[in-house]
Amino acid sequence: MNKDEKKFIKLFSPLRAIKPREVLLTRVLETAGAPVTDSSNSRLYNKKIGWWSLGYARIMIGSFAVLLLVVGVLVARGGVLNPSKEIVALDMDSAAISDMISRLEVSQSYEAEIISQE
Amino acid sequence: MDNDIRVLVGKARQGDRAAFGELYNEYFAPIYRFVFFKIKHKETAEDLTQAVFTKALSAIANFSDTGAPVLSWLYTIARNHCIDYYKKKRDVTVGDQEGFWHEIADQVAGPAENLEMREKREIIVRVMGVLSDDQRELVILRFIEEKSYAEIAEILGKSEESLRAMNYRAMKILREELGKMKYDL
Repeated sequence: MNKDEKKFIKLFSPLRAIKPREVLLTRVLETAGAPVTDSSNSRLYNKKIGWWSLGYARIMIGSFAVLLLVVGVLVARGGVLNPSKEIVALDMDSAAISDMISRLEVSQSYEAEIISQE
Repeated sequence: MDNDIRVLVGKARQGDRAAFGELYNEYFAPIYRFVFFKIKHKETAEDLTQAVFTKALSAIANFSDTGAPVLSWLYTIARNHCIDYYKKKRDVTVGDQEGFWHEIADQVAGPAENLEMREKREIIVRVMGVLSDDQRELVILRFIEEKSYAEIAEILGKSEESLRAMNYRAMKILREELGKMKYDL
């Protein structure tokens, strides 16, 4: 390499900075049909992505199944789509029911007393 | 050939994928640059470089260690691959040369580029644009990749004498062009 050439090398040195994007070695190995056994390369990353995707899908499907089950139970009980008066009444506690019955008895006895006075 | 590389090539020939992976990491960038300057399209150059290594992986078992650098062998595969690419893609239109060199200049430019560097990159863009394809190929290998004439002769399939003559003409053209821009080497 003579003096002139060294000057040109210096001139063109910035072009050495040109680099490709990271292209996966895995793609080369797979294209060539080679079995990938080296766990230190990007194949491992691909596997992680694969398992992550699968796990994510499982969670989504599981959540949807649970939601379907809950909705199914509620529909079967009829408590969601058609709430009846009986069910509302059943929701009253026993103290409220006895209070209502005693008030009814009082009013009936009061009515009977008025009738007897007439 | 460096001993480490020689060992890696030996292992790769016996099917050691990790050894081939190390060769890949070592040589992907220079082969990419070579293909990029020939194809003048970033994404296509990446795809072709990948194909070069796929071809190399398939053929490395038959690679005969004659003492020549494995990189020369890869350059030869890359060069043939680029020729095949142009043969198959007859309809490929040659891109805007000026635009291409400016794209390179943009890739090279860093965020903290000063005035001197900006001027330098403009000069590189201009002078590379005036060379013929053969001269540019030689300039890339000689001045960017710093290869010896023996290596370049092997890669390009030309004699060292013809390469020296071509390099002399290329340097003359470059000097004239630099003179027009009043750039002192």
